[in-house]
Amino acid sequence: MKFLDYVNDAQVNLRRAKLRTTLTISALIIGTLTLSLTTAFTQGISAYINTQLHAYGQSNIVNVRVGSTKTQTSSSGVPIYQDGRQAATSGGGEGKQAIYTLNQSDLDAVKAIAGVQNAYPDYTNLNINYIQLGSGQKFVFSTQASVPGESTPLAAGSFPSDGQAGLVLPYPYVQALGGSIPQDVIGKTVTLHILSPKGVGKDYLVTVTGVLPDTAHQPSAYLDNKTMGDMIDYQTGNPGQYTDIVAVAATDVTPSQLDTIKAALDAKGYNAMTFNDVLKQFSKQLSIVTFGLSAFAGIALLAAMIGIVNTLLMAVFERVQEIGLLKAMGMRRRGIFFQFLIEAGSIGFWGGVIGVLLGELIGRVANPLLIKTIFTGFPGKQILSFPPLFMLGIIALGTLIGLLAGAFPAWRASRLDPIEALRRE
Amino acid sequence: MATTTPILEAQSVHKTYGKGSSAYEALRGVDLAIRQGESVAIIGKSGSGKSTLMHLLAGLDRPTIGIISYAGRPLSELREREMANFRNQSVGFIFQQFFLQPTLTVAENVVLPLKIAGLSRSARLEKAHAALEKVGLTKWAGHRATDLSGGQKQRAAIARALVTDPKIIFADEPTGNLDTETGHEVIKLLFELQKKEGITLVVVTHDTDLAKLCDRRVHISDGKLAS
Repeated sequence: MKFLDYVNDAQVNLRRAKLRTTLTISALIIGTLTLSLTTAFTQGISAYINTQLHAYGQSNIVNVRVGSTKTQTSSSGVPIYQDGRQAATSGGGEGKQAIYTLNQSDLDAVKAIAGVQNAYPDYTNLNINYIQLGSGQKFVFSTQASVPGESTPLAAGSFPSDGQAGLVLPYPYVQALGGSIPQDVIGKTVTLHILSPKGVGKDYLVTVTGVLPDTAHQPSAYLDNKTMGDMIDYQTGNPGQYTDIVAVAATDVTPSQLDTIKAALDAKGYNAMTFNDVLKQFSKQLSIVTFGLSAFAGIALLAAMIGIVNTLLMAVFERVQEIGLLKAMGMRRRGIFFQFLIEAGSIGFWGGVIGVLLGELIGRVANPLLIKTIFTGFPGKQILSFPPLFMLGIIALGTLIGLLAGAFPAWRASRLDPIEALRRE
Repeated sequence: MATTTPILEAQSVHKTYGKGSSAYEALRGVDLAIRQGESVAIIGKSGSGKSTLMHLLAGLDRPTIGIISYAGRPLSELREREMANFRNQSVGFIFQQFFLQPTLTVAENVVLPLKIAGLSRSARLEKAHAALEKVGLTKWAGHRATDLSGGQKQRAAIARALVTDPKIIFADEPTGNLDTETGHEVIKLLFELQKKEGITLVVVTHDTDLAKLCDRRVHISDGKLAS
């Protein structure tokens, strides 16, 4: 028998028991649909996380802090005082644990690491009282230091170049400061007001050079490193010390090169945090979710597989006489085997196709809703994305499950004795 | 005539079902030679072993002891593929219950052996129409098998048996499910075609009228041929 005849006959036979076929395929669809949505979700979310994280940090920046080996601890457990190394309050997230400050000698050590092009102090605890444009309304404001070579995408303008003073504003400040589009505020000089430890106020005038994109979670502004350092020194009255150093690598640095830099810094007693690490933390959580959903899909597929076995065994039982006739007419054992195997494979194939198509349909309905509600500021049009290769993979998996499930019933059918099958009762 | 090799031959064939104390010997030493082109009726009471003998001759089952030969070659020597080919190409079957697939059309039923043989669709259709013409069912080709009357069903089954141009046709109680008149018509057609095409016909039957039409009658009782 020709292959196409097998395939064609399988479809005809499946249509003969419409209800049974439909139910069996439905069970499989639950699995393949879950799998296609899980894939779509994972793909979309990791793209989303990537764009969101790129607004916060960039791949060529390594954040450096003091590691435990840089502080000498006495027998009492209290670290011994070293010149230029004192406890600073944690920037947040670390709880009550103290962070030790870094100084010029640390900066030089970091700069000496191979692969590090430059290093700057990074200031985190600048408390700005307000931002003001001219004599307009005052707004609360927070900023982080901008390091020369920042490559975070901007809605408009640019980061201050090396040695230039400048400020990059979060998107909402465009409207707050009286503009309607980002270009309206670029080039304007704003006032940043801070207080000294004794409560003496001081104004710093900075020119706006860029505006951040309109993302769901707004990062703080970027202020050039030099101005930020001056302001911190004024605010703390303790110049020359900082909790963080940012090391800048080449913009085309590869993840493995970053890991090398990180290892070199670790060896010198620093704690290095790369963009990779941040991404890894997120992707680890994402993998846990993916794993959970996939496990659910796997269980559904396993149950569906048992369903296919059952359906095929019933079909074999019902068609004993037909099998006997085919054998009497010269169909070989392997022909009978193939016939039922392809029937099972077809159930798997259709289960895969319908599951994937349903997934796409759900994606079409859900994507605009998701972007409007939860994932605002997502640059693409699809949170749930269905890469064709993955979808083909799911269809192939469905077919494979069908074939595996069909093997046993098909074998049973192929071993039937034609005499038994044709015996007249 | 006696010098030519029989197309089908059984030599001291025994067939035992089951084992030990529950063993049942359906055939106890049957010798039979069937010549090309003759029609043979195997007659006997139910349980006499006549169906068993037919199954063995048709290669649907193997004897416990003894040899079945087709054109001088023992069937036991055939591999699974060769045996399948033998059933597909050299043999045609007609059953009491017709065994037409109710979901298929008459033409689709008739081409089944050709489909198994791997013929292309166009070659199949051509042969199916030729076979249906022989049995006078041309205009029923596109109808479902269930639309046919009993006599028409058996004629369709005859067309299916003929479609591969077999050397031998085995008919197992071909009139068993038909009324007398229809049975006669079907039998008439069967013998006409058998004569015209020079096919060897082996009929298992209770029907004495049918048996009389055959060239030779073989009586079987208690697993042995009665002379």
